[in-house]
Amino acid sequence: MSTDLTGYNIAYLDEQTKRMLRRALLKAVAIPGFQVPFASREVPMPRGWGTGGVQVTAAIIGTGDTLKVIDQGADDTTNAVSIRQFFAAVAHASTTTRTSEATVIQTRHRIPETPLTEGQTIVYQVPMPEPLRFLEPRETETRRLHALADYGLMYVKLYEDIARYGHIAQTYSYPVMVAGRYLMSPSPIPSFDNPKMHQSPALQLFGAGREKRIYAIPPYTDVESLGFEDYPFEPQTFDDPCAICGSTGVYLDEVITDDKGGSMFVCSDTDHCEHAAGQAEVTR
Amino acid sequence: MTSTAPALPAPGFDDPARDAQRAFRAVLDALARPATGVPLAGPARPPTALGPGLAALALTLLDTDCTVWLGGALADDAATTTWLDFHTGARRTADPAAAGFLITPPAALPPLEALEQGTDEAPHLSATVILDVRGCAGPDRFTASGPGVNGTAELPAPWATDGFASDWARNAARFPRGVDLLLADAAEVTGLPRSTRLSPLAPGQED
Amino acid sequence: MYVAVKGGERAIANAHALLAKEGRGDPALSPLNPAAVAGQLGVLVARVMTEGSLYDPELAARAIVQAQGDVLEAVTLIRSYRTTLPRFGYTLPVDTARLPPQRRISATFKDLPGGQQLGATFDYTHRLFTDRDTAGPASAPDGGGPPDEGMPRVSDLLGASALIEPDQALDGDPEPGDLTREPAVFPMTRAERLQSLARGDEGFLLALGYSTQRGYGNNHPFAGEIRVGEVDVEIEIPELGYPVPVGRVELTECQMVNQFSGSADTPAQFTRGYGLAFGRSERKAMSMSLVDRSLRAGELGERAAAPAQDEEFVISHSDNVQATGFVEHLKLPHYVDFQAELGLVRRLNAEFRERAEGASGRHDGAEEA
Repeated sequence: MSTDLTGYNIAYLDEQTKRMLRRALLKAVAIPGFQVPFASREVPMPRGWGTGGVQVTAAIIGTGDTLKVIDQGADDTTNAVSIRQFFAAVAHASTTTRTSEATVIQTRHRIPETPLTEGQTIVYQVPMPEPLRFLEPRETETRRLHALADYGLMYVKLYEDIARYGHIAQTYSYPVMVAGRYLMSPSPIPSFDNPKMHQSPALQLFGAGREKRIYAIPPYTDVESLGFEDYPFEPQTFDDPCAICGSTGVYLDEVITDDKGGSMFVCSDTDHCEHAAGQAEVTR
Repeated sequence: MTSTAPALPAPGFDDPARDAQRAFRAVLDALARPATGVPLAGPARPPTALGPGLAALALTLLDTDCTVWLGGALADDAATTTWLDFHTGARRTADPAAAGFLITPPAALPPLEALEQGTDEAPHLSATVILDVRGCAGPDRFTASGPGVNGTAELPAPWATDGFASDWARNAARFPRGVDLLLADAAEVTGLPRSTRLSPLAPGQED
Repeated sequence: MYVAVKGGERAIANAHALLAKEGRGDPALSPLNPAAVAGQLGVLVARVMTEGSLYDPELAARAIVQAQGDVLEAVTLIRSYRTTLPRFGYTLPVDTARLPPQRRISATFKDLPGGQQLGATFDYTHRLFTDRDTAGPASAPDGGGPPDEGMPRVSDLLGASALIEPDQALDGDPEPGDLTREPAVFPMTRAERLQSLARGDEGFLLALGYSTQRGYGNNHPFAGEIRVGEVDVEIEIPELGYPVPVGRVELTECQMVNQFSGSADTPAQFTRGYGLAFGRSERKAMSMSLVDRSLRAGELGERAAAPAQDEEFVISHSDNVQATGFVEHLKLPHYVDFQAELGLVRRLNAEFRERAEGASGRHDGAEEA
């Protein structure tokens, strides 16, 4: 099934829609961590498959950009491929798999291992932008709680985890406080990645298409993962290095190798893994 | 400039989609990195009163969904109003408190608290001021800090009017409500989001 | 070498080719012609147009064929196309009272001006398989057509004697919002709610409407009137100064007459629920009018406890493009989150074992806390 894209505007969205998104993005940047409602448009992929990220990317991307798209840290998972092909077709954007070469990185569920730099923009696909949603399903109520900066519900939830399990039992979508004011969901990245958000030199943009919210973290902004004095935030760690490239201190995927409980751990960030494996080759 | 409105307004961007994208990235970068000037390219033949910088911002941000208030001489400049009407369709208002966007020289900028602040539940519904800073020559300088600033940054502020520093401090104190500023000259834009704190720097003092 | 994450691009290309092959079915048979689909599957086409928010039977038929009959996929195609269309202006409200009905029934009055007209309906068909080719159009249309006296809406007839609440908001008639252009914020206006319901999933609204009939927010409905017909769409052109017709759309309208309200200060009046959908979409229009009425619980001072009376719940979950996207996104890779959970569960299990062993150790008196 080929897609005939004649007749569509650059970056798919019409200019008025882009302006609407752009105005929302500017307010999002001005109020770090606040979820700006926007009139989310349909884009030619299902809601919940990155339509928010796609709209944000479409609003910012230009011919001068180099786009990287990852899903689960990998450039070649099917959804990442599909979104990358979409932008190559409608925005005539250059694409790359190298984190260091990208000016815009659209991601689902990971932050690359290669530290981001000034001038880069990372766009997160967000399924549930409201960090309080599973504690309070009503928008009218959570809106009020944000207005009052009343985040007691979340602390109670984390405290109950500790009482029950001895730990904060939140391993992804781990809530953060942005610039000391707004409680924010970092999207379902593993808590392993949370520290990368703090004082990042890159601009971080978040798009939730189905839920119609945009939010942002400017560069060099405090992003604190919630915790208690006696139970501070602890990001996950892995005991073993990557079975392919030998990297340590990176996020790993477990790959089942047989039906007898055998498995191996390999980098979730395929670009990092390729690069590190290449370096190891050279050293050898 | 003649005082009658031209029959056809001057053209906008040469390549509307691409030029607006580039200008938007400059504005986004400017607000994300407050107190840092970002190069901005405008249309080739903007109305003189706007100049290429302000014209680029208007073309990039405004459309029929927006209300705009023009300050100072801009409000009465037929070339500017005809051009804005034609290219953006933004509704012009005579009441600065009712405007989503304000385009004005510093001298005509109303006190910030008189502008739309948004609410605690919807702080994004606040005004954005596009300040025309061409040809300003005041002595003020500030040290900026806050989200987007790596530590602190020095901000020369020749456009700052008397009382701006305290007006801005009150604006910052209203966070998350508050007004955002875009300082534009002919070829550069600097962002001052409400989250940026400014402290005056004595003339000649190094940060 | 671990290759499981490789080959995404080829996998997608192969999947698309296979999908196209499956969709074509038996190559010995002629492919479905969208024009024939538009003509023969009109009810399906109407649903796709209604939930897709775009009136274009040919395009909806094409979407249905391309989507291989998957209604939600077809709606998504239509919506994605619709969002790229420039907006030239806004039509005037359509006047459904002037709509010459193909069908018009009222369950509230035996006879009324304009009469009852059955029209094209499945209502009294026996649900037995018939041979379509021979069944054909058996009887010629009765030729009566709508009488010249017109067909005032039942709600207008009741309204004339002030027995039903007025059609418009009492404080003027404000411009309706548009959820496809402005962010939706709760609580919504009724106009915004109606727009949302019109785009909402027929099955979801049917179930919710049904739930109100079973006591979950009952509002005592009577089908005041259901009418189906084609109506002119007009647009005001400023240079001309008068409205110009730009086309015709087929609509189904349902006016539900509901439980009366009143107080010591105001006389008792019936209340309304409203449903409007493109094409022949009677079930949708009726369900919509039931849910519209139940969502007015707050406005009419009723106790709101049932799901169908909860605006945030109903509106947030009625859009099937959103719902199916999010449910189906669960098949996207979630390796990363799952690994995070797996790590935690393993750790909690290990700690649990340690504690258990520690406890049994203490039991032996061998260990100090």
